[in-house]
Amino acid sequence: MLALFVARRILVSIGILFGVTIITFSLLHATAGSLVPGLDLSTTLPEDVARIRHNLGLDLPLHIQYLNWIGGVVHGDFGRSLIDGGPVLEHITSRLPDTLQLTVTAMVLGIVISLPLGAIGAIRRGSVLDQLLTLLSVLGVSVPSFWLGLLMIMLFSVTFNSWGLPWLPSSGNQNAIGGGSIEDRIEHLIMPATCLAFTYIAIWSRFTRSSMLEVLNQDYIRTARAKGMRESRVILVHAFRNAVFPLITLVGLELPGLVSGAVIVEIVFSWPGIGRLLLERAFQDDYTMVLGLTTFAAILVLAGNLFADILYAILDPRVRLS
Amino acid sequence: MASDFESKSKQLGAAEWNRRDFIKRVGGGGAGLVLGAGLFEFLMACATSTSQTPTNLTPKRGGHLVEGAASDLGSGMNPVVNNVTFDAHVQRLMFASLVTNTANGDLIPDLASALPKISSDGMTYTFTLRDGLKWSDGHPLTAEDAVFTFQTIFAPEYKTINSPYRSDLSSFLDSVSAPDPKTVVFKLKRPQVSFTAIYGRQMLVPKHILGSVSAQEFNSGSFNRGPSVTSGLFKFVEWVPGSRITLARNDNYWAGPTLLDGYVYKVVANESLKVQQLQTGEMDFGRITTGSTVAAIKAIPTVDVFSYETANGVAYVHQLDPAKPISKIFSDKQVRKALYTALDLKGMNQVYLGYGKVADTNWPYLSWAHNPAPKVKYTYDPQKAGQMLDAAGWVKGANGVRAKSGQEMRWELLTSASSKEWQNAAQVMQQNWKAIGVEITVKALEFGQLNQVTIRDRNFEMSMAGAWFVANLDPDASNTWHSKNAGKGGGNAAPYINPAVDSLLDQAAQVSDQSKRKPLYAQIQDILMDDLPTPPMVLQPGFFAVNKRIHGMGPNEIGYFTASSPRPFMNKVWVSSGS
Repeated sequence: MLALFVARRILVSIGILFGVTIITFSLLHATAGSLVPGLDLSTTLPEDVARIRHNLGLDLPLHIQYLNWIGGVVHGDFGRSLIDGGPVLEHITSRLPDTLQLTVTAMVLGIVISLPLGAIGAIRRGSVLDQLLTLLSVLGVSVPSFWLGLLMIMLFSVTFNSWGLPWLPSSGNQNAIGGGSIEDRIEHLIMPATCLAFTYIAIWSRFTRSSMLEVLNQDYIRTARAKGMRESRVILVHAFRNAVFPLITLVGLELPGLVSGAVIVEIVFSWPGIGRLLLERAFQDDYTMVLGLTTFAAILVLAGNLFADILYAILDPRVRLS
Repeated sequence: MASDFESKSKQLGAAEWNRRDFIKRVGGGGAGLVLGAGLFEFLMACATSTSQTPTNLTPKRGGHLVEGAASDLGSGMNPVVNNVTFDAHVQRLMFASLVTNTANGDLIPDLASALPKISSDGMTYTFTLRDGLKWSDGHPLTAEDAVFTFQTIFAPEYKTINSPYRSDLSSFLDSVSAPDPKTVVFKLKRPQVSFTAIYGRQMLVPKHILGSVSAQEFNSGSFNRGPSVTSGLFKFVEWVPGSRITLARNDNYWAGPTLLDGYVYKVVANESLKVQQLQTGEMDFGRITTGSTVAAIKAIPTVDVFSYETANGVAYVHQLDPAKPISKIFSDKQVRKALYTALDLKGMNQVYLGYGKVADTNWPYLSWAHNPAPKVKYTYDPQKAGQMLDAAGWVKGANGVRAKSGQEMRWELLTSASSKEWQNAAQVMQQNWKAIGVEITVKALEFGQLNQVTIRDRNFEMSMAGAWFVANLDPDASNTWHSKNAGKGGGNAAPYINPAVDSLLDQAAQVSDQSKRKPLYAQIQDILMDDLPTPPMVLQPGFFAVNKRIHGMGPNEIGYFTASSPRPFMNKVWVSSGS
C-alpha cells in the first residue's frame, strides 16, 4: 500500500517536473532578448549571427531543441552554458557549497537565537523584555533584507573602517587577495549570514513564543508544578521540549530556501552563490544555465515535498488512502 | 577586436546599468539606496580623515591591484570567439596583439616591432614580430600563431568555429601567411584602411595549445574559462563567475614582467558598492559610471577621481521605413530639423551633471575624423521650431497637438530601462517637444529587448540609441549609415538610405592617407547633420577612481581608449603600500 502510494507520488512529481521545464523553456525563448547570448550583436554581421546560431543549434525548431535538452537531462547532462560554454551541472555544483554555507549558517543562527528568545518572551510575558522582543520580531519581518544589508555594510564596513576600528569585509566570501583561510571566510560570512538570519529569527521566535505560551497553560505543566518540581526543570524539560516540536515543521518548510532563499542577500553582499549566478545569467540570456538552475531547484523542491509526503504517509495511514 | 571600446558596443551601458540598477528594481530598493547614500555622506562627514601613507617615488616590485568592474564577463576568455565588451577588458590583460593603442587612440606596436609596412596599392600588410617572443609557458610565440589566429577567424576550413567576424574579415582578407617565424603577411582582396586599427589589435591565441582541438572545444572548451597559456601582462589563475577573476604576473611578457604580483578583476555590482569598497580599500580602482557618485568618491581622502572625454553618446533614431505609418511624419527633413531645433541639449547635459559635452556632429570630438567646422549648426529655439512645423503644414489642433491631414504628431520613444541617464534624457525630449505641440510617450525597455526591437525587428517609431557615434580607432561608420546594413539585423536601423553617403563611406574606407580621408568624413558629417536620420545629442563623460597607493595610473595613462582596455601602461604600474 505504501509502495503504491510512493510510486504514485513519484509519477506525479515527474509529471510536474516536465511541466516546470516546458514552461521555463517556453518563457525563456519567448522573452529572449538577443539572438545569440554572449555575442555582441552591434559589432556582428547578420551572416555571422546566423552561422553561429546554426553551430549552437539555436536555429532548430523549438520542440527539437527542447527534446535534445531534456534527453540530456535524463542522462544527467544539463547542457552547456551559452555564455561561457561550461557544463551547467559543473557551475551548479561549484556554486552550491557557497550558497549552502550561507543558508545553513543563517538557519543555525536563526534556530539558536530564536528558541531562547521566544521562550524568554513567553515566560516573561508582558514584561519590558517581552515587548522589546516583540518589537525586534516586527522589525525583522518588515525590514527588507537588501536594506538591512546595505545598512550593515555602511556601518560595519565603511564607518568602522573610517573610524579606524576593526571592520568587516563588505562583499564576497573571501579576500580577493590571499584569502581563503578559516578566519577570512568567517569574517566574510558574519554580515550576510546575520542579515539572512534576521528574518528567520523574527518569525521563529514569535512562533516559539506562542507555542510556548500554549504549552505553559497545559494541565501537565500545572501538574509538574504542583508536584513541586523546580521551575527551571518544568520549563526546560516539560514545556520547552514540547513547544519546540511544531517548530520543526516550520523549519522544514524553509528547506528549499537553503538553495534559493538567499538570492537578495547574495546580491547585496556579492556572495558568489547559486542565486547570484541565476540572476547574472538571466540578464545575459543564458537560457541553458537558467533552465538548468530552475530545473535543479524544481527537483530539490519536489524531492523535499515527496520526502515530506512519504513521511506523513508513514506516520498517518489516512494520507495513503486519500 | 573593435568591440572592446565601450561605445562600439551598444550593450555596454546596458550591461553596466543592468547590474547597478538591479537592487533598485528588486522590490523598490531605491529608497534604501537613496537613504544609504544620504547616510553615507553623513557618515563621511563624521569620519575623521584617514592618515595618508607617505608616497615613496621609487617603483617597487610586489603587491596586487583590485579593479572594481560593474559586470562579470559576458562570454569568456578566448579572444577569437568571445566578443562581448567586458570580456576584452580581461582578455587584453592576458593576451597581446600585433599592435595596440595609447590613451588618445594612437596605434603603437605590441608583439610587432613596428607598425605594419603597407604596400603602395594598400593590398599587402606586413608585420614583423619582436625578437624572442614567448608564451607564458615558455613556448616560442611565432608568426605561425598569428596565422593560426586569423585563420580561425576567417578561413573556410574553420567555419564551425564561432568567430563573430568571419563575414567581415573574409569580405576583404584573401590570405595570411608566415614566410618566416617573425613575419606575418596579410594579402587583401581590396584596400581596407581600417585593417591595422581593427584587426591589427586582434589578440593572438596559442597554436600549440588550440591548434589541435575540436571546433566544439575551441568554441566552448576549458581554455575559454581559464586560458592555460597567455602572452600578455598576466597569467590566468582563477575565475569565480559573478565574483572575481584572479591573474598573476607573466614573467615572459615581452616588455618585461609587471611590477605587480597579481591582478584581481572583481565584480562590484553597483555604484554605491564601489564607493564603499574604494573607501575600505577592498577595491583599488575602476571606472565610475555616474556623476552623482563622483562627489562621494571625492570625499574619500585615500582616493583620486578624475574625468575624461568619451565617444559614448546619446542619439535618437527616426523610423524612416516608408512602410511604417510614422514615417509620414519623419520623412520630411524640415520636420526632423524642427524637432532637433526644439531640443535643449545644454539642458540635457545636466543629465550628466554638466560633465558631458553637447555633440555637434555624429562623430565624437576625440576622433581624428571629427569635423572641426560643421557647416550645419543648430541652436535651441523652440519658437523657430514651431514656425518650421507650421511651414511644413503641421498646425496645432484644438487639443494643442500638431496635425496634418488627420495624422497627429504623436509617437512612442523607446529608451533603455537600464540607464537612468537615458530615461532622464527621454524626459527632456518629451518636455521640449510638448512645448511645440508634439506629444510623445516614453517606453523603457531592457537593453537586450531594445536592441531586438530596433536592430532585429525594426519595430519602433523612434528609439534612443547609444554609440551611433563612431567610437573605434577607425572612423569608418558603414555599419550605422551604409544602405548595405539597412536590412533587419543590420546596424542601420532607421533605415537611412542615401547613395551619396554610401559612396563617400566606400571611398573613405579605401583611402589610406588620413589627410585625404578626413575631408570625406567631414562631408559625411555635414550631410548627416543636414539630413538628421539619427541626430546626436550629448556625449557622456567618463570617470575613473584610483587609490593613491597606486602609481602610474592617472589622467596621462587613462583616457577613453585605455579606461577599459587595452592597458599597455600596466607593466609600469606599482603600488606603494598594502596588499
